[in-house]
This record gives sequence, C-alpha cells and structure tokens, in this order.
Amino acid sequence: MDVNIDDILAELDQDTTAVDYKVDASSSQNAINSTNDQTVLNSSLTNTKIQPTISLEKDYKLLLRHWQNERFSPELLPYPHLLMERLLRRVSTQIESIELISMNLIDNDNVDTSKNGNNLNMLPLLVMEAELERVKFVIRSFIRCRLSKIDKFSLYLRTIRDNEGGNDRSINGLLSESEVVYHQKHFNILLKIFNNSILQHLPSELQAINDTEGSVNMIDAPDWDKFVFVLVTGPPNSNFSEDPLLIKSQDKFYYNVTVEELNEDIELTVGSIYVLRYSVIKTLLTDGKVQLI
Amino acid sequence: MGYYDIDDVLTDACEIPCKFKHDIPGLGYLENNPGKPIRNNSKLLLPLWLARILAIVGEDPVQEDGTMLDDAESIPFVELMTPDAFSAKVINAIKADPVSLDVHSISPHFFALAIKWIALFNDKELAAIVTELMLQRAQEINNHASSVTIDVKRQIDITGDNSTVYSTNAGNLGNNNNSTFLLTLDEFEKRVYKQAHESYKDAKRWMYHK
Repeated sequence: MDVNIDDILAELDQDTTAVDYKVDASSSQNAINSTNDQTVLNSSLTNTKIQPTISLEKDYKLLLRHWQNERFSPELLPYPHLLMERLLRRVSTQIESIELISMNLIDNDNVDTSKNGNNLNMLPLLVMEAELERVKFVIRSFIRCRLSKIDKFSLYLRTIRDNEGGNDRSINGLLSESEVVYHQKHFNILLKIFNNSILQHLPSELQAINDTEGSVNMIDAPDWDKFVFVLVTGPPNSNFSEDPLLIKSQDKFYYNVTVEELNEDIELTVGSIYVLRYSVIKTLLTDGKVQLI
Repeated sequence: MGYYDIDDVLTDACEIPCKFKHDIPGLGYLENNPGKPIRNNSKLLLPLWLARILAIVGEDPVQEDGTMLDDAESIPFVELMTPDAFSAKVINAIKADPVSLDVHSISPHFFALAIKWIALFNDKELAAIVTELMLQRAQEINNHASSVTIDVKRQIDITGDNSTVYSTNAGNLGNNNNSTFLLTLDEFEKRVYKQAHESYKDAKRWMYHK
C-alpha cells in the first residue's frame, strides 16, 4: 500500500525555506528599506499578489522579461516604476561598492606587494564589474526601445493624454517622469520644425498635424494586430489552481482566447509557443501569463 | 500603413483608370487641357489618392423642382475601372504560376495596391487569389533569402577556414541564380526578402564567424 506523503514533505520543505528566507532577508544588503517592500506589495508589481519575496535575482529576471516584451510588442507597455527605481538604486550602490573595493585593493597593494594575493582579489571585482555592465546594458536597451516607441507614437500618446479623464491608462502609468519630459519636448521641437518649414505655408484648415478627418489618418496608432511569438508561461506565481482563466483538461493547462475577426477559439497550452495577433493576447500579457519571445 | 510611410505614399500615387459621371467645369487640367470643363463619361487616369475619394463622394441627385431624392443614391464623381494590375490576364497568370510571375513589372507596389483595392471594393475573390500568391511567393523568397548562408556553410566545411571564407561571401547578395527571381519582387516583397536575408546572414555570422 502506497501512502502518498508528498504534501507532508512539501510542508517540511516550506519550513526550511522559510527559515532560509528570513536569514537571507536579514543578512542580505539589498539596499531596500522595508517601506519600499510595502509599496511594492500594495501596488502589485505584476498585477498579482505574489509572495513578498523581492530579491536581486528576481528583479533582474523581471527586468529581462519587461525588456523582451517591450522589444517585441507593437505598443508602448506601462513603465515598471517600482522595479526600475529599485534597480537603478542598486546600480548606483553597486558602483559605489566597486569603487570602495578597488580603493581597498590599491591600499593593499601598498601594504604588501605579493602579486599572488592581488590576483586572487581581482577576480570578484572583475565579475562585479562585468555583471554591472550587463545590467546597465539591459536597462539602456530597454529605455532606448521605449524612446523609439515614444517617437513613433508621439501623436497617439498625446491623444491618450488629452482624454486622460476618460481613459483609464493615464500617461503617468505608461511613461516614467523623464519619458514624459522627453515626449513633451521632442514633440514641441518636431512641431516647430514642421511649422516653420511647411505648415505655415498651408491653408489654416490643413495646418493640424493630428487630423483624423482627412483621407488618411495622421495619428499612427500601434498595430494591434501585429503577429507576435508568444510563450505561454502560466500565472506568474505558478499557482495554477488560483488562476480563474486557466482551464484544465487531460493533464494540460490552457487558456482559452478568441480571435474575434475569425470567430475562432484557441487553446493556449502552458509551456508552448504560438504565433498570434497581439490584440488577442494583450490582456494575458499585462497579467504576466504569457511572454513575448 | 501609416501617414508618414513612404511606400504608402508611393502606392497612393499609382494611377487608376476612371470614368467621370458628371460634367464639371474647371477641372480640365486633369485631362491636360486647363480652362475647359470635364465631360460626362470621359475616361482618364487618376492617382489613387484622388480617385479613391472621388469615387466615394458625389453630388447629391437633385430633382427638377429642387427637392432631394431620398431613395436614389448619390452618384459619385467618378467610377473606378479595374486597373491593369488586376485585369483578367494578370489574375489568370497568378492562378497559373505564382512563383514565375513578374510582379514588379505589373506594378512595383502590387501588394499594397491590392490591399487598398480589396478594402475599397470588399473583393473576396481577389483577396483569396492575392493571399495565395503571397503564400506561394513567400516560400520562394525564404529559399532565396537563406541560400547565401548555405554557401557559407559548405565552403567552411571544405576549407575549415571560416574567417576568410565568410568575408568573400558576405556581400554575395545578388549572385546569378538569385537575381532573376529577385528582379520580379515588388517593393513589399523586397523588404521581406531583405529582412529575412539579413537575419539569416547575421545568424550564420554569429555561429561561424564571431
């Protein structure tokens, strides 16, 4: 007779990890104060209540995910305010600590000139610098990708901002503060060029650059039907039973989405890859249940 | 297709044969004789950006006594006639052999034009034919886009010296067996080909040549 003790084992496992977590949280120098932890929890970073585990590694993974999604999605995705705040602060503290360590190294050099010890100390420093460069590269690429989209959808974003009252996606959730400034200033400069070079010579009814009444719509909206590659990852906290959208059949978990134009239902099995219209998976993407690749 | 899309602007400049349904004074410059009116039933070529709007709007039909007719539809200024690009001859050629068809000589912006035309007339039959054409040609485009990398691979296997071989093959974009097909691509297909080719090339470069 088999007695299934998996759940008992799981409980035991949880205990140990809980202890680990506590030790980890108290001893790690995450440079996050407890107030920040609270804000992150309350505002639901990935739109779902995950366990309060914020770690460097998880944040980096989250950044990679945001980066990938931003690269492949046709629209400008909401800016991860809290994540970026944490990451940028860590980058600056890491730069400081690297400087401190390298200063120590110089001091050590003066004290004892044994080259062997110096070499040993260099490796962690190199690794830290290389890692910092990696993180900085991803952040830079992420921001540049967003800036190029802001350029592209400049007019569209303005229309969103103008009917901010009616639209639930306010411009401040979509853009970071510096991006708002960039958008504003870049748009003004562009408008100035257009006005000075050509628009002032046109009849006044043709001077608007956001005319939607003419034969061609001047406001470029994102291509909502763009085809994207999608990896179905399942709910972000990998708690499959809690997700109301998830359907189980024959040992498979899947989401059911509908392509409206074709009137067709598609089963998105967790763990597989699809090519789909962006508009179909948009809500799943914002909930972090699928990932663009 | 955005407002600032150059290919879109060029597509809109393609000329469509049109037939005027009204006598309009002052528009004679469309027929290259300014100062004269344009006559009913006169045929002329108009760019799509003009023809499209003229084919939609029109004068409201007015009865003798000046009252509006409610049931009669307003007759648009012009009637669009099928352009050469979608004539029966071309349709038959597409059906016969999509791959060997010289799309570029029919119209450099064939696909973009077809999309606009289909949107204008809701032409399901043409939509099916053009979709089939695109799918068939896409396979061929993929073959051609990936062919250069196959060359690179083979030569590396023979010589085992990838650093020099790649540089000779990198610019080998229009070698002989490719070029005849590539000359038949329309602007949209050229863009697809170029992107596919670049991505194949970059992937191979990354694998064989740091």
